[in-house]
Amino acid sequence: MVDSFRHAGQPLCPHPSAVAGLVVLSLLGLLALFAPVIAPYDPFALSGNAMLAPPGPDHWLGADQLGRDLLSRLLYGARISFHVAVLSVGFALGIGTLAGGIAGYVGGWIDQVVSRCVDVLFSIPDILLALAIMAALGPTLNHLVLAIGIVYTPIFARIARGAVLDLRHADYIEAARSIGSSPAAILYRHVLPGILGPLVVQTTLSFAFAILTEAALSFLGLGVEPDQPSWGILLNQGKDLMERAWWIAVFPGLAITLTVFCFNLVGDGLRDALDPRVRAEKRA
Amino acid sequence: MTRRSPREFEPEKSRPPALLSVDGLRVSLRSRTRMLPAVQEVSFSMQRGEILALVGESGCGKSLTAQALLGLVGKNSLGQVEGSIRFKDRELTDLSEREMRAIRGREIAWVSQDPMTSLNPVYPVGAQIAEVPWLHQLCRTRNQARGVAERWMDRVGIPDPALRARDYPFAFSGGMRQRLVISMGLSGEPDLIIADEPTTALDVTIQAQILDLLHDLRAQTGCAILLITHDLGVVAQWCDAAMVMYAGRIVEKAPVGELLANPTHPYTQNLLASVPTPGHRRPLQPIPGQAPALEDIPSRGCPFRERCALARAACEVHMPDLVGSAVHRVACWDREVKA
Repeated sequence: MVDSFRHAGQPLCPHPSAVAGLVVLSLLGLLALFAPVIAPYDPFALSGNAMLAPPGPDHWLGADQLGRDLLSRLLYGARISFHVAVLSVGFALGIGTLAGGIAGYVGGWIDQVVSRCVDVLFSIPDILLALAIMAALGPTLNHLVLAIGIVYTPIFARIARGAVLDLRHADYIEAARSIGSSPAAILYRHVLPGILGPLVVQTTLSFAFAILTEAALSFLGLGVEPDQPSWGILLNQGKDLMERAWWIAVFPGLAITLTVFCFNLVGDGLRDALDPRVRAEKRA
Repeated sequence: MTRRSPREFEPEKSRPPALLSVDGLRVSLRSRTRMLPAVQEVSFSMQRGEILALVGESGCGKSLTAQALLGLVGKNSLGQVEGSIRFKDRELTDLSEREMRAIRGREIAWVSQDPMTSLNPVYPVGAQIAEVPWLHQLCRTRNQARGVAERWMDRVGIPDPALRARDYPFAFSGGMRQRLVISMGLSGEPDLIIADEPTTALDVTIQAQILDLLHDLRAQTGCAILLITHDLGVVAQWCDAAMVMYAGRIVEKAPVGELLANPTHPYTQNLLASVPTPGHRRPLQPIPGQAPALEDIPSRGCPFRERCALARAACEVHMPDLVGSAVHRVACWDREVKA
């Protein structure tokens, strides 16, 4: 029998790619966290000698047209990317889940109002909405967090509402009522775990989108302040020098790709790990 | 209206006080415009250890009656419950939601219709069964509660309960899941189990196993079982007495042997005539028409008159009372005239 497998209790283990993604992300996170310690140069220090220096022993990833060390700038850029991703997705997760959850559980006109707001937000393309908010508020880091947060709020609201609606009439909720569970116990024991899976998966995937959106907005000049070494800004600065100094655009691009890819790997792994049915198929 | 002859008022044999006695239960559901009477004038009582069947077509108010007993309708804006439900000398309709919660699962348990969906897919089954003794403080620790759950899984015939308790619901077949749901119902050691069509979702062979199980558990624990079903075969084989329900009213009530040998209400007769008997090739007689939808139940007169071959003028005007001997009662004008 497969019984011995079932009690392994290590949900991510059958997903080596997700584990790899998690390891790389943890590494990137540590690098970002300790950027001031690790970075070989000051990311803002100009150096006349190093202008457009190619990757080499002095500057591992090369330097830009003002002689600033690209590796140091990428490390500091990671701080910005992770900062924006975590805060904006946290914002979207909190507000979206609360609004969607209440709408689903209470129903009635509250549900109507929330759902229509969500529909309106959904009808505007993500990047356009974020651009509009940034254009209205002005390009600063906090505004960027707010803009990306607003853009991703409706996704969480919709997921939470759908999941709660599904659960509200589930037979096992009725069964829980019939054994004498209190409403608070039902919310905690049955509704929350039921919606947690899809939310966790969506959170992980949203990190990837938030990093992409931050890069895109910064690339377009409506992200963080232009003197900040965000990945999008590095990409933007590199695009004009592609023929003379490919490294200025390619390494930030690789950093974005790697991070987004890893978040997606972890998200997919989590989706499988959190679904008991998929878990069964893998083991069978 | 003919009056009942005095000899039909034989005092019931002195019995111990009833476990459950329902008197004049009415459940109304709120529609957009008015309150719709979904269950009307339902009265019955149950003794400890009795298996009572509640029979009727879909939508006739069987499940709603059961939900009213558990206090799961009427406490919200959607419905309203009137009448008296006395359970072990307490009036359930007077209890607060908090007091009802202490009764649900502990004193009155519910075994639901669909074992495939009434277990939460994200928890191991043992933990879900253990919830009942834990919630009702029959155990001091979660571990003890798990032990209780495993004992009940063993008693309902789940092999290797200690190991299987850690499995998730998807790993069980339909019959096994219904056993789990039953063990969940029993683990609070209730005095009354309401089994709402516990075998509808199962194969016929599994059905017999589950009903045998309920029968055995009744013998072991002495609990009473209110078995909601539309299957007269189930009634004949496993129940002590039966109530036939039509459009929210009880139209006939009798011990099972008596009901099958001597069905009196035309609806009961029709029901029995529409069930095939193995070995007998006789044409089945479907009941013409269909049971009225909730909003179409006539506000006066007998709700069955439209489908009844014996309908007469009186049926249009008044709903007949449930009358007869102490054991066999029927609500039909035809029967009253004959008596």
